Amino acid sequence: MKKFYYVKRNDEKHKGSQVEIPAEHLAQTLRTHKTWQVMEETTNEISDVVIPEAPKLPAFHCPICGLESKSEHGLKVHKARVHG
Amino acid sequence: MKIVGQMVVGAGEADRWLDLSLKEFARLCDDAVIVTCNATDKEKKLIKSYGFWTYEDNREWGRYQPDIKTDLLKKILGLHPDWILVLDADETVPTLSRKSLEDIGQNRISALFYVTNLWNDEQHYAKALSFWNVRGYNPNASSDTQFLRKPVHCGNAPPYYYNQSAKESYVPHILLHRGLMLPHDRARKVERYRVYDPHAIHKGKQYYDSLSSLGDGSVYSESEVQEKLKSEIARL
Repeated sequence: MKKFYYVKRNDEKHKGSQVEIPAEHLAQTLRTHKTWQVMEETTNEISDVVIPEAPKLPAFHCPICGLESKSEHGLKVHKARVHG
Repeated sequence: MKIVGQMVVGAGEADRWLDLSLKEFARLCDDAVIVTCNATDKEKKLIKSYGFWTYEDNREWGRYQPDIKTDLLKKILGLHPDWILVLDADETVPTLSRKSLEDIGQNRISALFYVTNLWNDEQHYAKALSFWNVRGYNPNASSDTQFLRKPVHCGNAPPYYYNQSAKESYVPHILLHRGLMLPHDRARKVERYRVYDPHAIHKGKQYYDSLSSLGDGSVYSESEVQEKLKSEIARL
């Protein structure tokens, strides 16, 4: 669960609109926008966004010595130089 | 289907039939892993010319054969093969095509070929020395990689692959072995096993006696070998 604050933007540009500010950013936001006002605290049952890990590229693995190459070409070069 | 060749090569093979056997791997397999066991630069150069994986394991062949082969299999598994074809440096499988090998690989856990020994020349075969033996297997069918713990004659695959039924594993293909074709090669082999198997524990005495002398009527022609294979398959 994440904590948010509703903040009223009391400046000319935003004319009193409300925004939702995550708790961890509230202090900095209020330092930057001195006219903005905290209205209420709320919690949203928003689970933390999970950014999936980038898929691991298949390893090119030397069966003889265990060397991991970054590419198929690299493995071929290794094979020719060392195990061919 | 990914087919990988498995072979152990010793010294002197480059001057014999190694090139023929490597050609079989090039013809039938996608890749091969070949371990040299106290081989010379000639063998290594010939293997390298085919672009196969190769490494050295110079432990004494007559004492550490199962360890050498177990380690070889573990390395082959790193290539994630669907099927392994095993040849010695003096063996060929002339009737086998890539397609028939794939058919075998898709339908069997192991494949036993009818090993026939060329005798004195390329037209004759030793009758008493024909037998079925594993020369292909699906390495994913068993997690066992340990070869039979015998210092010699430990097989070409872990024991699991020898325990399939004949009907499920025998394939109608001859494997030609040239290693006993010439008299001086037979004499060398007898001498080698006098050192490593002096009491004929790991292979029967009859086998070693046959290497020295087969007796009369003991040699086939090619057509007789084919008939013999047909009758063996028909018996299954």
